[in-house]
Formats: sequence, structure tokens, C-alpha cells
Amino acid sequence: MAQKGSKVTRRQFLTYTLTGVGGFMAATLISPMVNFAIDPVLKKSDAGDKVRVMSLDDITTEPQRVDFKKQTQDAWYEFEETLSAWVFKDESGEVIALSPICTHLGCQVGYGGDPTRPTEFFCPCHFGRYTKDGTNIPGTPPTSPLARYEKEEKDGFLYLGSPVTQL
Amino acid sequence: MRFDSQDAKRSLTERQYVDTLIVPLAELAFDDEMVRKAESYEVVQAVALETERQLSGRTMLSPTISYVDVDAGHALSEAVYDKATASGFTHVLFISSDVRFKAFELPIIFVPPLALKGMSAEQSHTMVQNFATQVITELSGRWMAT
Repeated sequence: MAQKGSKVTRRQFLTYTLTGVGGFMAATLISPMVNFAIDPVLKKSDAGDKVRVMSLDDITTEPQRVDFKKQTQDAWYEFEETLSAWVFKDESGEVIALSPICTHLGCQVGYGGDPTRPTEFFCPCHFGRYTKDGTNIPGTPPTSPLARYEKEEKDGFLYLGSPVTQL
Repeated sequence: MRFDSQDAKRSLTERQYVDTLIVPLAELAFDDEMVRKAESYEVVQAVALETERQLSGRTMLSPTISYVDVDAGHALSEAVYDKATASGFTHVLFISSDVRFKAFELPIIFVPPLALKGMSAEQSHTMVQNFATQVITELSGRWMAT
């Protein structure tokens, strides 16, 4: 016997209930599937991630070498890559983070590595030279300047991303 | 450069630039000595990898020579040395923590067999950096001399 004032029939009530419950069940089944299907899209990209490297207060006009670790993905294989940067402030006070990878064949350059040229970057492998701002010196093996890291200054710390090739 | 197909190809095309072979040495043991040998292996390996990372443009990191008998290890090292120099490597440098190799006339750098795992990450990083710097200084000296 239908209650007075109720406009929902038994048939309607059952339809709503079954649709509702069925909907939930379908959602339970489908949502993980969708998740799996579009998984690569949901994965956070590492490329843009920046790593906290050092306090801005510690940066001087003298280049310092800092090592930091970054999660890198090579196809399916994820690993921790050790990266180095030479960090200093230029005359205008702007922070510059140079990649130490020699543009010739990939050795690591050192600032003042050649004692007779204390304000240059020097590659011990084939004696390549760069000025302090990373410009390659003609007549030495490298043909392009040192790469510069993408950088961000936040909360008093320097964050570095990926090295960007300079032309 | 590493001993993989890609770097091997590259090192052949850049032969005049890649003229140095780094060969880590590891003594194997599978009894009570295994832990100590593994510790030595870890530090030698870490130093060799770090050296290669910093000098990848001129050095090729050879797969580790492992041995159970020091004389056999010495013989194998000599063979590798001869083969490498005959194939165009001007410089060959072995890295080992086995002091018995001091008796042999091989170009070799010794790293102390420390237990890296017992240190903090920072300590072991500094330690490996220091040893790698020694190896790099040694190699730079050789390169400057030629």
C-alpha cells in the first residue's frame, strides 16, 4: 500500500536503486581500468623538476662546484643520476650555473684546473679552455660554450633543472 | 666512455682522443672473506665509475678484471695491458685495493678497501670523490707529460 503523499512508485524506486547501485559497481570496475589505460599521462614528468642545490647566501663571484642527485628515467629504468654544476654570480649579480660537461667529448671541466690560467675553465682531457662565463676559447678543442642549467631562486635556495645547450 | 656498444663505436671513431683505458681489479672470494672482498670491490668500482664520469671524453672504462688467484689476476692484467696498448691505447691504468699488486710492474693506483656502506651518504661521497681526484691527478700528469 503506497503511503499518502509519496509520488514514487515501487517500480520507480527499484529502477533508481538498481541504476544507482549498478552505477557504483560499474564505476568500481572501470575507474582502475581507465587509470591503467591513461597511466603514462598521469605520471609526473621529471624533465621539468628542479632540485634544491645550495643556499643563495653561499654563492660568491668565485665559481664553486656543487654535486647533486636527480631522479632520471631512461625508458623504463629509473635511476639516480649524479650531476655537477659550477655556480657563481656574475658582475651584475645574476646567478649562473654552468654544466661542467666539456662540449668536446664530455669530460668534466674544472675552474682554475690549469694553474697558469686561474680564471678559466679547463678540461684535463684534451686541454680545452673556456672563459669564466663558459665561452669556449678558439684554438682549443671545444667548439661551443658550456651548457647552463635551468635555474630558479626560491626561498633563499637555488634550484637547478636540466642543462641547456648554449649556441 | 663505458664498455657498451654505443660508446665502443664512438671511441673507435674518436680514436685519437680516447687513448686511456681504466681497468678496475677485483679479487673474488665466496667464503668468510666474501664480505671484505665485496667491500673492496664496491670502493674500487665507485672510484672507477666516478673517474670515468669526470673524464669520459678521453677514458674508456674496461669491465672489471676479477680473479681468485693473485698470480692469475696478474697474468690476466698483463694480457689486458698488452692487448690494449697494441690496439692503440697509449695509457692504461689499473685501479685496485689489493696491495699484493705492488710487487708487479703495472701502472696501478691503489684505493684503500674501506667499507663505504658503513659511512653516511655524504661521507662516502666525499671519500669516493677524493680517491677519484687522486686518479684524475695521476692521469692528468701522464697526459701532460705526453
